Amino acid sequence: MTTAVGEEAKWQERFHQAARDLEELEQQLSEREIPDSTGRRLRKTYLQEMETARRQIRELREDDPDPSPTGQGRPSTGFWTLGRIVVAAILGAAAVALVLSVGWFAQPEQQVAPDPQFDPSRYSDETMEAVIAANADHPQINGMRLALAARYFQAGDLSAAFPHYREVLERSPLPGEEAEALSRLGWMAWAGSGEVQLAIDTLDRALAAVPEHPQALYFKAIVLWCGAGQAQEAVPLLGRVLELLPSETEVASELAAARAGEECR
Amino acid sequence: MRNRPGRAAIALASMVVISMAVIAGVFASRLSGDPQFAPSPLIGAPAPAMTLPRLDGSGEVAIPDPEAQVTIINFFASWCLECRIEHADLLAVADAFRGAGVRLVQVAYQDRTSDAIAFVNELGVSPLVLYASDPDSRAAISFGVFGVPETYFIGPDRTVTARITGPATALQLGQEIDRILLD
Repeated sequence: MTTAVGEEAKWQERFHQAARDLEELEQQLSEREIPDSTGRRLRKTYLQEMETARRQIRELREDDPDPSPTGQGRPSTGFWTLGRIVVAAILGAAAVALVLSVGWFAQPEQQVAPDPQFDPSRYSDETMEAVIAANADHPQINGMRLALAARYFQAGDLSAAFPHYREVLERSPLPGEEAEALSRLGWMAWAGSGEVQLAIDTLDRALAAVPEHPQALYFKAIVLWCGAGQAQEAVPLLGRVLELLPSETEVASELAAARAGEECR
Repeated sequence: MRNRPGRAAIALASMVVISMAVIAGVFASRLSGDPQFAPSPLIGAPAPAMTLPRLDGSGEVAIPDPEAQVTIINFFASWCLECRIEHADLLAVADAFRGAGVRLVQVAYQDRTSDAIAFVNELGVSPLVLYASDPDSRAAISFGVFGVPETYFIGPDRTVTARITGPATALQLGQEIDRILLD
């Protein structure tokens, strides 16, 4: 038995030595200290050495499946009690880890949806695009689409914003999401393409989804005033926006200008 | 009486039980917390530099990619169920960051070449991704891969910046790329 243990230790050491040599070799190769051809030969040698050592260790263990000695050197009953406790502890530890790890394996599914604390400003456009693409069918992804589209919209990149708004409308949006997407598309129809009637129709659809949507009200007012030249039609809409958002001083000045029949700015 | 364990044995057994409980706790907390960004001795160190054969045998893949700002090395296998979970996220990231100098290299880990090719063909192949095989597990040994999937990030200075164990999400991948590119 002592011989077998000593033999196994010897092969263990040879295995670890070969692994160390291999690691050193990779370092030397990466620093071009030795030619590639030599590196390939040495790598093969070290890997073979590791494989040989692994096989020898396995064979030694198979030859001696019960490592407990018999006869004179047999340990006391106390030793076996201790052994049982150790085995029980190992099994218990493994069971605890396994039970807790179930939650980990389920985690990817849980991580799909952006959490309520998700702050899009912390991520690049590319990261948000990737998350949206990877989770395109997730029911909660519309919020992230709108956040990214709004970022493009505010940067004036309407062509990047457009497909996201369209996609939101095709994926069972909530009324607020629908109004948000339609109001931006309505604005883009006028500001981007000069399509006044299409813009008004689209903004009306947004207001049908959420009648008091401030953005849809405001955009419709501006399209009526600046696109259709209907300043007086814009007045009640701007008035309503101001009621909803009283701190918007720019809306207040636009309302005053529309009331006075001025041309839009 | 002589057969009952002595105090020393009981004390030793107690220590073993406590030690195992601590180990279980550490192990479990690693699994159940935020397990995926994991430590590695390579983080902050120069990335292993090597060339690997392309999976389809048509040439070689250099690691790190000499033309990329960020090289992502993803070790996968056809027999790995969790690799299926992350595949769409990896492709989405490769596509979203295509103009930002990010290169994804997927390395087949202890897998038959034909099985690895079938795996990527089934789940989606991207022309933006480089696929490599790893003869003799050379790359896996150099990176210290423990199991698949595992993903490593290499920054513009050719050092390893992070390691993700388990299936990576697009958010995690993008978060790390953002961090590298903004540094």
